[in-house]
Amino acid sequence: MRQSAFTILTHVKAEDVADLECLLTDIGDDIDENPHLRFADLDNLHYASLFVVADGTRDPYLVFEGTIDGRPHEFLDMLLERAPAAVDKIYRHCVDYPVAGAQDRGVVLDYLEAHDIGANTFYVAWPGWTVDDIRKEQELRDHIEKFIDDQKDADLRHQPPQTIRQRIADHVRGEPTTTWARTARSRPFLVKNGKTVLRLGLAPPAFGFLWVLKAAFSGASTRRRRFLARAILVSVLGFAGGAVRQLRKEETDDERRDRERAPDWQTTYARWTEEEELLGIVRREDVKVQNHMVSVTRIKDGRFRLLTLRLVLWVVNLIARLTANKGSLGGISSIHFARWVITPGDKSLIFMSNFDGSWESYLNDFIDLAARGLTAVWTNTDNAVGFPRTKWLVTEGARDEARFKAYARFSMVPTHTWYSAYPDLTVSNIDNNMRIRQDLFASLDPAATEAWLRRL
Amino acid sequence: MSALERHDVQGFVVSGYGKMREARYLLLGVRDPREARRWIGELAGQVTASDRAEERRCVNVAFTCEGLATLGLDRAEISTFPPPFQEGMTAEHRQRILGDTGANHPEYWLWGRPVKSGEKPPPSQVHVLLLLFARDEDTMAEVEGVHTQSLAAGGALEVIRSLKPEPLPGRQSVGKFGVEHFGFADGMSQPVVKGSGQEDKLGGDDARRTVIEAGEFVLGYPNGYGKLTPWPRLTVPGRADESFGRNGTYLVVRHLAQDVAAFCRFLDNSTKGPNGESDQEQAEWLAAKLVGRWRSGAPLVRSHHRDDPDLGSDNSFGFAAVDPYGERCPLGAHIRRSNPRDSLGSDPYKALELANLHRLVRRGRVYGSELKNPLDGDDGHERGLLFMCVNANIERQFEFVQHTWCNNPKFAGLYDEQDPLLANQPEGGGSFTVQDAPIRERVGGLSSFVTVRGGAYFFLPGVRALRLLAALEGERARADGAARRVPKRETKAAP
Amino acid sequence: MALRTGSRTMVLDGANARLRADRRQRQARDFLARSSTAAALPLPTVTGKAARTGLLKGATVKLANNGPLIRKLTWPLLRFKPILSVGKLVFVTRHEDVCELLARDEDFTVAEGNAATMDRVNGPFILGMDRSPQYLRERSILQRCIHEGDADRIRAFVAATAAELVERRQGSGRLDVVQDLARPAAVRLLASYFGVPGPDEPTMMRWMRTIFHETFLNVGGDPQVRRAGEASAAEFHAYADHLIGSRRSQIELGEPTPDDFLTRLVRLQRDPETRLSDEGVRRNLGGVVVGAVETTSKATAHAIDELLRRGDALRRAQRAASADDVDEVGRYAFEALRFNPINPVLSRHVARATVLAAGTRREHCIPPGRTVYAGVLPAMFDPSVFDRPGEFRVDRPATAYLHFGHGLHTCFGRYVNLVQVPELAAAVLRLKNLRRAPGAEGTIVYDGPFPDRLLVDFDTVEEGRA
Ligand code: HEM
Ligand code: HEM
Repeated sequence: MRQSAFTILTHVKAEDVADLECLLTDIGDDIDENPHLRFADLDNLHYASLFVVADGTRDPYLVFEGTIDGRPHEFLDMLLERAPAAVDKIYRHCVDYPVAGAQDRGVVLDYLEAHDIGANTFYVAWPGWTVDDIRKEQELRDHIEKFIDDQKDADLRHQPPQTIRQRIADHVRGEPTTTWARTARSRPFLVKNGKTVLRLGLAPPAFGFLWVLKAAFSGASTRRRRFLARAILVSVLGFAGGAVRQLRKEETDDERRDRERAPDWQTTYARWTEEEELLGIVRREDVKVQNHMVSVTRIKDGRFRLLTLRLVLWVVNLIARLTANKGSLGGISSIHFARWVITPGDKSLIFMSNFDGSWESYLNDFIDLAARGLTAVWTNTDNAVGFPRTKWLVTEGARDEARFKAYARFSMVPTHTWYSAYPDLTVSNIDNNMRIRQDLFASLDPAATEAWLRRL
Repeated sequence: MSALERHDVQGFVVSGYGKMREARYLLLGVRDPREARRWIGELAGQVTASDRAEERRCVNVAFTCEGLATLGLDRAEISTFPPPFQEGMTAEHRQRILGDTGANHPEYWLWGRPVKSGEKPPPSQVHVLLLLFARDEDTMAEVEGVHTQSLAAGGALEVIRSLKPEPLPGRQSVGKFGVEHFGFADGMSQPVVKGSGQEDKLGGDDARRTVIEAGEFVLGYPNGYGKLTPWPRLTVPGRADESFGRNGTYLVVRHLAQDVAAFCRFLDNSTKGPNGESDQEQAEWLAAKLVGRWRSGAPLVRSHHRDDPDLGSDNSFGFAAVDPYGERCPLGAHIRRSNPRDSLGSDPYKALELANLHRLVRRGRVYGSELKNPLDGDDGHERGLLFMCVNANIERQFEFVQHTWCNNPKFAGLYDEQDPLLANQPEGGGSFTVQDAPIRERVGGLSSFVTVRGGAYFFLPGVRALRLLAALEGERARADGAARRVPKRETKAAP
Repeated sequence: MALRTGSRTMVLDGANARLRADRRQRQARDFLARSSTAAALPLPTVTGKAARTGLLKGATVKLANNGPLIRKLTWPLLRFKPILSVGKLVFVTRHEDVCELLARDEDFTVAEGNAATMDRVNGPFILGMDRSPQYLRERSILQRCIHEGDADRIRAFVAATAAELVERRQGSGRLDVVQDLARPAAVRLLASYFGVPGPDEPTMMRWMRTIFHETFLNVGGDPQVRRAGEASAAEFHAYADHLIGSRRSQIELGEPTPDDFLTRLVRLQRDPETRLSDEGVRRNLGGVVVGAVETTSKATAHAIDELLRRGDALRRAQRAASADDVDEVGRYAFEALRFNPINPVLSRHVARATVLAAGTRREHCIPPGRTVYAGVLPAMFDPSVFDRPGEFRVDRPATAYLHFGHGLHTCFGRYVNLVQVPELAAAVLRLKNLRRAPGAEGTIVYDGPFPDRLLVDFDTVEEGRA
């Protein structure tokens, strides 16, 4: 089952902001036991977060984002069935909430769905792996590990690899709770064939272009056709050239404006310890293995930036669906799910990510491994620190470590409520568990058997 | 790249002063800022810079954030320092990063703990760290005498605590490296600072592994990203100075007590034979697995069957080519966690480059006497390591190493274990996986062998910056500022 | 605590399960259990198959054994572009430049290329170390194990062994230079002179070949070669530990011990100046021994093969052999080997930016990180040192040959093979009416990079030479 993302954006009544934040913080502070909303009761839910964006520059709004197995419609319906009171308590603070119709699930459902803007770019580390799969595979591993640890007389490890694996397999077979593990799980179509699909998709435009080239310069084509082809070529090249020129112009303008920025970014960043909101974020980090990051940045003025941003997000999304779907996004293997959303009205870009490890190490990964892609996205946005100087859309930018980190920190919004269905598992744990299960009963050659045993 | 301005960089950055057997670390509180600045001015002339090969004594000096504020840096100036330095080691979320919870919690520290509201009398805040080194005991006595006198003159500063590391082993000892209390040679692996003149000897692989951009350890030079790490500035009109932080750096101090008896007991218990008899050889094997080197220092990667003292000082190794799965040096061993070299990620070349963005220049010394018969239990005397390290970016270097590598239960694809030496282990004991073919082995029952007893982040300024500090105007300094951090919001700049 | 994940899924009971018996002990046990059967096993053929895994790899291996082809390929370089950079690679072909390159061991290093494999298979050894106090110390300790008179002792032993081995084949009229003579002779020298007999000859040969293959020649990282090499290495470690241990206790107890390399190495442990750790003795002994068998056998096979191509030279060499002028035979053997040396190229890593052949017209700046190939073969065809290089001449200066490398890493076993290879060659050359076996059988068959067979025929004599 494919995971999907919902991002529900609703305006909050100005006078209710504090109350709502208070409520969400209450829930978030005790995510498992709070009296309002038990996320753990919602099967199929990987991650969810609720936060209010109220930075004074625009009407405050509430974001409720979640990553689920299946479609949002079914999930929201279940949410309303299992926790109607909580939804009501939260959304009562929102503009346009159908207070009167709150008793009617359908009405509220319509309301929520109407405000769901999904995601422009959605990255999934392990497409097709459901909450249930992930939890069960961890149980399987625990089970196997315990079996190995229980072999006190050290007899097991003196056996040849095949025998060890056989014994483990036998042990699992003898355990009724793990019958599900006997059937291997196949990976979704796009995970296996994404590259091919991408190639097939790229082929027509590539051939088209070649055809135009040929038609433009080959003596064999008719004059009319040649003229047409050349016209196409000239306009395409002209368009591309124009776009590049415009890009450089925007970038040099940004640079000039940045030089005039007052106060300069370092001074702005130096106020770090006075920003209660930022301090609040930092204080909530690193409680668990995973962390959550929400960043809201202002999209730079002008259609060009917006268009560029949309294009880049579209490309990244395509890559995420077709090729970056095996636990790693551009080399970063610590992200479970991430998304970028352009808010209605095209004013802001929201980035939401569930990742392993500290923020510092996450940002290091950004800078060290995926600076180009992230630059291409965020260079189109701005905040008090300002995105570092960029060239050609992808170079420099995020490579300016100190400033990029400052930019990212200053763009963050506190996540009042954040839920993870498996907060103790990293992306690589999930991967490892998955492979343990996959090959447990497969027939393996000696090298693969040794490799399998190394996973334990 | 400009060469390191060695006359301005304090010597501790490039040298641990191995020839100076004796050391004293004096933790000082400023009592009279004006007098204290005068003292700093005098000291600036005596501080050992990197270009001076001292024969008999060395002096270096560093400051905490509270110290600088008390000495008269303005709030706006303080805020040009990076967050970890401003907040200090004991900020609540840093406790989680550093593992300073439970028995490691700052409230139990001997020094460096924050003031609790309403606490009486408030603990003395550490403002200054004076590092004294001397060739031998007599010189030390003399040096210490002179300095304690001059710092106290005019009621300038007060010694809050004096830390006394053990004298380094003399010539008669085996290797040139010291041995820490668990019994392992320590200090073989150090980054070599580019531009320090020490890198010329190294070629090829070794250079790639150990020569690190100067900006990773000294402010004002290109760092691992080819950028200048932002450094603190003086901003108050009249004394504004853009290059105040240049040639300075940050010094992390962690006062770590080691429970040698527990460590040895653990080794012994975990390797007892079927009839309960101790097995010395097995215990040594396990000890080496925890550290990643044998007691002599020989790296497991290069000698995995047994100790090979001939390789004691060896540091020419990576993990990827020889030991990708940790079957020689376990993935979770202390040295593999604290410097994974080329082992994280599929491309060893790139992995090494990235790992080298998180290097530390270690300057620790051992304190407390040796525990003679560890299996007979503890003798009630505290002993351990005065861990110190130099880095230009506390978050990306020291804190990253401590949090993302050492303390991280998920390091290198593991599930649920932490640095076997450093970890603050859970109730019931931590575990440690020894990767092996055909199948791993796992040891349980690790207790917390190391407890944090104190610590702070210090700024180790350049010599010129010391003079600037000394010259701060008297009027700006708060005579009553001692022991109190400047209130936060007073200078909040309007955007 | 904060970072703990809360769910401690695995519960270990407080009193730990006893850790598994020491690896080394286990390996020794496994090894002893296996070695009783090992003798009966035929030589494994893993390596032969492994070499075929990659077309390119196979081609490289073939090329490396094809002296004439390398000559043809490198001739234009020698002539027109003595120092050639292509991408990350640099080829050096002039004798003078090759010597400079090999002599400048701090700019052109070996650790980058050799240390990791050396570590994996044997443990650190001089061949994988660059100039350093450790290198110098360990090499000088090894050097001290060579005593005066060793050359004569080796000569006498090899002569007798070779005679005996050839004698066995007298009746058949056919001799496999590799399997009947060179390899067993080299293994016996290991036993007699180095003090490492191995559990039995076939096992020892298997170990030496698979370990050597993995250590030096598994360029593409063939997994099968690696497995075979590492498995042999583990067995050999266990064996060597045992061997060294018992020799040490013999010495300590004052029992008589053979005066061989091993005894000398162990005795040197008494003096702190020359003391290697126990592990140090093991890895040094291992390193020395592994280089001994396949090199010798290859050198002998190639030398005989090249002589067989040259009727005139062959006859003159045979005359020298019959006259027991083994020095002269040596000149023939090493001149023959020039046409197909066992190491046609040696590789080095460029540690820092440097200039090669400075001040000449060939002057070449080389950036760090490159791999440089020292063309030993083309250098031995450099007309400025080897006059009329295409001709087979035995009056060339002995110092010009680069068979044993040059500079710091000059072959440690040189003194052995300046004697051993000629003696083995002489034993073959003495055979009456020596000729290749007819047809395809008469050419060298390789097992991967190693000569595995070279059949020669001869006339049987009723009365063998004494
Ligand atoms: C009492 C506590 C500690 C003990 C007993 C200890 C012991 C050791 C030993 C024996 C070594 C190997 C010697 C060497 O490679 O130079 C080592 C290396 C190292 N330790 Fe620690 N250490 C302690 C605390 C720390 C702390 C707190 C950190 C930093 C977070 C740290 C970071 C390192 C690093 C970076 C290395 C070098 C690894 C390499 O480059 O290969 N250690 N330590
Ligand atoms: C008893 C037999 C042999 C032993 C014990 C032996 C041992 C060694 C050792 C220990 C080295 C490394 C020296 C160092 O790094 O300092 C070496 C290098 C070398 N050996 Fe041998 N060897 C033997 C036979 C041969 C033979 C027969 C040849 C070729 C005819 C040969 C050619 C070489 C070459 C060319 C090097 C230099 C490698 C380089 O510079 O990269 N060896 N040998």
